[in-house]
Amino acid sequence: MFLIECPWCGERDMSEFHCGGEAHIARPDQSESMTDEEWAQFVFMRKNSKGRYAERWNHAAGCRRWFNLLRNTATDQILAVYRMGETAPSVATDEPVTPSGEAPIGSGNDAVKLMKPGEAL
Amino acid sequence: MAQSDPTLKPPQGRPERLSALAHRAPLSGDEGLTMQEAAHLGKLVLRLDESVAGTIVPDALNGVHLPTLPCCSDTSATGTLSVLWLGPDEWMIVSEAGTEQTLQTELELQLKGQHFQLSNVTDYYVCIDITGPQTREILMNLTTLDMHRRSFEAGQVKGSILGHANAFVWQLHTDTGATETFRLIVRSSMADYLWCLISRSARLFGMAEETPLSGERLVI
Repeated sequence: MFLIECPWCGERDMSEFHCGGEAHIARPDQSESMTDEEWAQFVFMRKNSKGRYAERWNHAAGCRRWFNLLRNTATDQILAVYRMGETAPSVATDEPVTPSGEAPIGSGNDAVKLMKPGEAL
Repeated sequence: MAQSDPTLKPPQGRPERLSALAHRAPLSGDEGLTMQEAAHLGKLVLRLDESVAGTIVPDALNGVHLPTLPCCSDTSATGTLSVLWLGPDEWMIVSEAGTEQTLQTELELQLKGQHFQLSNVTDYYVCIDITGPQTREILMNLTTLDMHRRSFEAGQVKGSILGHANAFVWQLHTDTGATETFRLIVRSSMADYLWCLISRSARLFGMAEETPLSGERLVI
């Protein structure tokens, strides 16, 4: 259990909230001319990155409004909360380390290992 | 077989309509602790653009403003009409029993030209009032809301989860000192569940045991 800060209601328990997946995915304008691959890209494919991740959340039991939340998926640290339509602020956070040197995306269960900002691998 | 008669009045002494908690008798306990349903209060939900909400004060609201501060409410001087903040562009107008239809007609006339929606939710929501010195402790058992006086002040209204039920918790404006009244606004289908849940939680703080009026059980 942890607290999430709703942009309107302030700090509330996470049980009042509902996560709506990755944020900042715009619906394509020219959907009638899109191929199946492009549709699949829009509908199914998500970054699912480890570390800093922008998500949409809904304060389902309170004011029932959507907002964006920047979260570190490795540590569950909430980095920023901002309203719909705003761009994600740049906030420094501990990024997860990848010991074997693979890309920091989808790289096993290194959730407990942290790399400080600016630290070399 | 008798024909149904639309003009048939209810038998003498019977209420014209039954509220969702009509089968639950008011409860009372130590130190002035009471719990009862505030039946048939008029409830309207107003959706309006938040950019104009601060400037619009319809005459029908008796001088009550639409609160723009989150989780706040405003009540008329007579105490008969309140406007609760439910969201940045959503308010609930709580009025005396039986006045909601007139109020809705007047408001619709006075908001003409605005982009708004006004719905009558009188029978959709049920109000349960709890009064007493330990109401905060009773509610603390059931919700994750911070019920401390410092963070839940008079006049505030907050939506949250109590047990399994979504409800709005509203501390009434008129209260002073030790006797605080909290009004819970819950969907009618969850009203009986919430009543039982609170009465069980309130037993720890000296509330009398629930006596069924007609053999119904205390079900949680």
